[in-house]
Amino acid sequence: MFIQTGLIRNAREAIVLSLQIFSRTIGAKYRKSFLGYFWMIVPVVVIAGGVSVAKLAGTINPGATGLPYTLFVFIGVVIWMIFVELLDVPYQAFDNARSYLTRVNFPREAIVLVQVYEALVGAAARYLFLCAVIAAYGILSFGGALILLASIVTSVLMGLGVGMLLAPFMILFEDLRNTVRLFVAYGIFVSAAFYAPHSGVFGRVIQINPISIVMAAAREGVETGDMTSVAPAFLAVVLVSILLVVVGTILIRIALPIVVERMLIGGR
Amino acid sequence: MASESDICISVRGISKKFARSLKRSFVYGAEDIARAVTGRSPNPVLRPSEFWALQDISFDLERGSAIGIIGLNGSGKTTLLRIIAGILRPTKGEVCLQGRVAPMLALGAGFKPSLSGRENIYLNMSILGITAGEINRRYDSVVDFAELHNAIEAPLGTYSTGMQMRLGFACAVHTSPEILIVDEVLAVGDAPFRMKCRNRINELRRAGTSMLLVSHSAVTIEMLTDRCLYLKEGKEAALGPSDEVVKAYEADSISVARAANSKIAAKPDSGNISTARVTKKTAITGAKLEMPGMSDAGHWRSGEPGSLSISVRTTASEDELSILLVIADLSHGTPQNIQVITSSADVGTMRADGTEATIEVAFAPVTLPPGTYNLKIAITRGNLQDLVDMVEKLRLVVVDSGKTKHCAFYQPREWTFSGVSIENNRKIDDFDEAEGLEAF
Repeated sequence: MFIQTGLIRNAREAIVLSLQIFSRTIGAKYRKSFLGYFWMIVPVVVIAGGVSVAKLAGTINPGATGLPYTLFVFIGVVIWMIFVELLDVPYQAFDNARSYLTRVNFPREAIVLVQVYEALVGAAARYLFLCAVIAAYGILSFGGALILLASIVTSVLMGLGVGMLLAPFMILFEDLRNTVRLFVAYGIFVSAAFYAPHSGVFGRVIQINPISIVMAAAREGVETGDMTSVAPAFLAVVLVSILLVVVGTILIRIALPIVVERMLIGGR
Repeated sequence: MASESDICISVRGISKKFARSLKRSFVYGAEDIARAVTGRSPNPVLRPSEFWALQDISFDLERGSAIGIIGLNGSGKTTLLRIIAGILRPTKGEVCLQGRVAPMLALGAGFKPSLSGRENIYLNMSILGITAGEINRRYDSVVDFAELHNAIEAPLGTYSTGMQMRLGFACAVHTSPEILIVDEVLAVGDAPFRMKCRNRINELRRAGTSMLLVSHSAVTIEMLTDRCLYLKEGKEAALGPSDEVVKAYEADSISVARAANSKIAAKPDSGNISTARVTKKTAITGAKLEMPGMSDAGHWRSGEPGSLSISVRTTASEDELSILLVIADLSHGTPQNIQVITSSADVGTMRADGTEATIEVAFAPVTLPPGTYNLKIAITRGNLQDLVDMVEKLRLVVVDSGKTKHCAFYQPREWTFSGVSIENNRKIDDFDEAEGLEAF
């Protein structure tokens, strides 16, 4: 009865602890490199630049895009990267804390929150960078910036929700971990990051991919300042993402003591 | 019986099962998650490859007192500790804790090598449940205690292991715990720092902090705790005043050791001997631990004479033989060899002429402190000590005779008195407990 304290008190403790830890570790990740926070942006620039060059050379035929292709890819890649980063957050948080999860009892959700804050800092930096790029193209509107923000928040929620649902099982089963790793590395090709919607089976797969819907919403928002054509689908994705986060949080709470027990005997 | 509010740890009917197979344990893990999500309690029956690591354990720890948990390796001590610390959930039963717990099994939880000592103090103490304001107040005292004034701004990764452990310990004892959970003897840093740690724990104890101490050293338990739980294969073998429980544990250890030894170094006619040994020309056929008046006592008493009798069978004449004895300490920290004895170095090599031989080595007195030891006996040949035959994993149990209670080993001694005389058999067994703790 003492272990099973109230949910709200526990949540408050976890938030207080996570803020305490975050205030100490903020920037620690980037302190080790000379370019520091620059690394939040570099991969996006490299991928977007590379793909644009490939398109110029004719290797990629993305179809008709409303936006300039480089900007089109930029938006897609940022949303994708934020999604996969958050997808990995719960697993990474527990894996990094393996050594003390098995030795001390504390509000364990806190370590996920710390990583979420870190990822949010990265997401915010990318968002601002993206706004700057859009402004450079001369098409930044208030509505567009707002829809872009909503899309990024949705990809954060979606990544986190899926990540929390998978994390306990990823710790238990190395096979699942490897599968997810494969998806993180190559999943971008079954999203709309590089291609405009087109017909065919592959095109359909890309289109109904929820992350593609988020990308489509962001692009339409940036292009027109509105998102009439994808609004219902986008709203559905937002609601499902919120639901995933809620269910994921509950699952983590329930599953963690069981998972920690397996960590003790050398589980992945 | 103490009133309800005086009890800080209450363990009620705890059972815990584990799976022996790694892969199965992961599958069961997923199954357990599914059960928990649907609101059912953990599966109470054993599934294939599962076993009970703990079965129906109950005890109370009263505020301000200390309880010891003793048992051989694999008896479930650490599992019990983890359940009490809230790291593992019991399969059955419940634990009630009242007060802040400082688990000394979690020194340095959350330490990050790339951050400075200062930042790590905040990290670690937050995880142990201290608020930022409280840490600010205690910060100087932690740094003082860890003796790290010069290095506190340097990244933790640049610290030596000893420095890191000192910092971890300093953080843990500054959480003003009401319950200390200590696993094994604390071996932190250099000797002066170890003393400081001991004294700090004693200070906390005197200030009314309760303690749960796990050890397989009977002497440590007897000295530091009031009551003791003896765990045997996950079950309660005894629970009561420490001195009584420790006696039961020692008696058990001896009989367990004897049973094991008789299997390992059986006489040839008992039929237990391995075929490899039968076919050897020269072989060890038996080993007995003896004490004066007790042949085959199976154990020794610290500070009193003891001997080891080794039977050797030779079938042909052989030269340059020697007996090698290696004694490893299993009770006090990580097992390590503490005695390596060769008969050739002591008295010269032996020549055997194809008959049954008995070799006896007497220890008068036995200087090993009370505990469980591993004894390895080997016959070697030549000056490079080629192994001819070897008996490993003999258990040697040394029990307390009252002469080595606070000692690392027995120092042989003779007292001479002139002008005073010894009163008739009036021994004072132990000095005042508080002083004893300090000295320890």
